[in-house]
Amino acid sequence: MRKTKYVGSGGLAFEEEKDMRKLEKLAAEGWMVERFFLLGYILKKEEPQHRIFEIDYRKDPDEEYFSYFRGAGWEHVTSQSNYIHLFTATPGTTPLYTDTSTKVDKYKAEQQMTGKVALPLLLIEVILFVLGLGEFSFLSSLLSSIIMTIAIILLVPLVFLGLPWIAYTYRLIKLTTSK
Amino acid sequence: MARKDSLKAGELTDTSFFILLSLTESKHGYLIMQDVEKMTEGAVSIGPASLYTTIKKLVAAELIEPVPSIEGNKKTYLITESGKKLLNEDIIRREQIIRTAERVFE
Repeated sequence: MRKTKYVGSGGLAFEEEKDMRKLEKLAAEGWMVERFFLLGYILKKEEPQHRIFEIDYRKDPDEEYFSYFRGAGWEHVTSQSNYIHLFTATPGTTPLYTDTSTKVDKYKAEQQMTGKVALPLLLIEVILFVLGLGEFSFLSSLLSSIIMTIAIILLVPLVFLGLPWIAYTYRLIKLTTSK
Repeated sequence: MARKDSLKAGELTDTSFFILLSLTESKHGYLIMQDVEKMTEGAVSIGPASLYTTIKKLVAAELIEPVPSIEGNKKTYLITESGKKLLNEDIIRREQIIRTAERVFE
């Protein structure tokens, strides 16, 4: 019987490096990552092997993109939504990113993508909470509670996009000031 | 942000510099990595994601261009005239830095 197991991700925005080290450790123990699943990874039982892992983000990459990675010794493991790509290589292989400038581009794109939704959403939330909690005379109590319900529901996407936005922003600050 | 626009400021990152240098002869993108390692005797390696991102930027800035390839569908690139001009300017800029450093150290 094929043995598989699931491990959770710490969230790529927050713990990309930690996730990759975890996959490395598991591969050494004989659990090779096979694909992304929900908020984590599906692993399958194999021979223990020393592999390192890295993530790249690229919308609908072309064949040229993957040919560079192959040429550099990075094997494509799996992708999510044709956007998040997981690669593996033997230890000592040149990393995917070798300069700060392009590494900044990687996280800047992520920051902009999450920020495009998170920041307007934050503004909407502020307005909704002010309206909902402000006891304005022009709002009936029914309307106020509808507004509060919407505001509370919208907290979910706000947290899911806002926290990564903060994480990417923090990464970018660290990258651009560490030199 | 400032880094991203270093091309427009007429200053090349080391990665762009070596890619332009390598593309003074046309070659497949993925061969640039080996070529740069060879020409720098292993001192400089360019990662595939850095290479891909930088090539896209250099094409957008018209410093390199895709050229028809003899073999297969792998994309081949060559430095453009404005790429050569910028590369030469950057070589002079780097020479000046080294000369200054040498003068100060003497």
